[in-house]
Amino acid sequence: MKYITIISLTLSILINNVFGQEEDIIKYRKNIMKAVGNHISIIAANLKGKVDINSDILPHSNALYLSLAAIDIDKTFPEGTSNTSGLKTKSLPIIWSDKKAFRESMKVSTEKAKALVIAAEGGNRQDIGKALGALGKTCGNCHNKFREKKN
Amino acid sequence: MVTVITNLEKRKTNFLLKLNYTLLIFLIYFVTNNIAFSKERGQILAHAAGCFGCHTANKDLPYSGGYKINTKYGTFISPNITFDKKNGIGKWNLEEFTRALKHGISPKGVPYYPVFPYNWYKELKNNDINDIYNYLRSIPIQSIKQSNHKLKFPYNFRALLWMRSKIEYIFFSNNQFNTNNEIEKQGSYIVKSIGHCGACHSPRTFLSIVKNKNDLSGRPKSHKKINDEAPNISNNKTKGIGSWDENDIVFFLQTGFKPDGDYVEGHMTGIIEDGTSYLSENELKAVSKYLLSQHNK
Repeated sequence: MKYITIISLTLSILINNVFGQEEDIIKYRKNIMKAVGNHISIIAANLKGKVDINSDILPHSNALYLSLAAIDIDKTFPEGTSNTSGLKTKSLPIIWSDKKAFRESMKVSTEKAKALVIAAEGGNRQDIGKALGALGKTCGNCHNKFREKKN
Repeated sequence: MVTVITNLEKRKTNFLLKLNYTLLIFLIYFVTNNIAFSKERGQILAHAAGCFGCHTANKDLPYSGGYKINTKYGTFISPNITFDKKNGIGKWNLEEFTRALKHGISPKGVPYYPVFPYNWYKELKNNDINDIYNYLRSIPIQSIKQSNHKLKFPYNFRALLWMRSKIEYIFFSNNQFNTNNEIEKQGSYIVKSIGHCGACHSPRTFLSIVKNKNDLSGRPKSHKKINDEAPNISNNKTKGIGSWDENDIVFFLQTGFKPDGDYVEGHMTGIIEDGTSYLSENELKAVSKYLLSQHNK
């Protein structure tokens, strides 16, 4: 009985530890995406004319670009953290089964974010809007292929 | 005396010739400009009405069809709508084109499946249809033959569509939109005709009949394996988009970004990219005004 209790406790600690790490990384990458979304909504609020703090467009474009460029795909999307793992995530298994395509999609988004920075440096609102739209399309391509649809 | 008359006649003839040339130049200028305008507007409308989106599988071959729409009834394959005489709509005149758009009947008298949103297009203005027709006539012809729809039994029997249309006629409420606000009217026209938003965002009853075009409260999945659900876009603040403002909707329909910075997903990605983003800012403002109005509950 004593041995069974010890084994059960050890197993539950191990399982908790493993799942805890996976949950943490899922929360972590969700926060990265939230940060990206927040930078976009700050830029968009200026473009829509909701606020008039245009000096924020360039720093937030830079922050957005750096947030995407810094993503280490292997560490941020480790094996066993798809939506089939029983964890709360919308990451589809195709991220791991077609990692090359996922890397390429992220690379394209990062390039478009860089183009947004260049447009923001130019200061022309129309160009910034177009660059943001182009970035959006790459976000859409990635979400449609690699993220489970929201209900 | 005779010489004077001859000179006078010569001058008169010259004057008339010059007048004719001037009138001809004016006529050419007028016609060219009007066709150019009509083509530009036609292109915008063909995108906003989803002609491009639904009839283009390969963007290098626009309007040549082949786009697949998976439904619980089977797979619909869009036809070629370039003016190829054999595989497209090259033999259609404007009247036949209008009948197809507004009534869902082909020039041969065959009913179209309601995946083609003729119930929304029936409200289209004739000059808009004319612009779309002229635009399609002006673009390169693609000689591509598309295959037939792959539908399950008994939906593959087109004749049943006549029965469906009778049922639809009884149930379909073609609610008129009454407002004195011209911008809201314009928005309603775009939402309920050109954009046919309700084709996805209105709930459907049996035989996929949309009971009320004014109801944009969304639609659940029609089948567990088909991702055809569409969200609530009524002005409800919690369930719909009532918490968005006009600028949010305009920006969303231009770029695909929601107010929280998230990007649109699913079919709406293409609808924005190839459709709504072609509309002018003023047209999108009118759409926003209508969507946020009390008429869109």
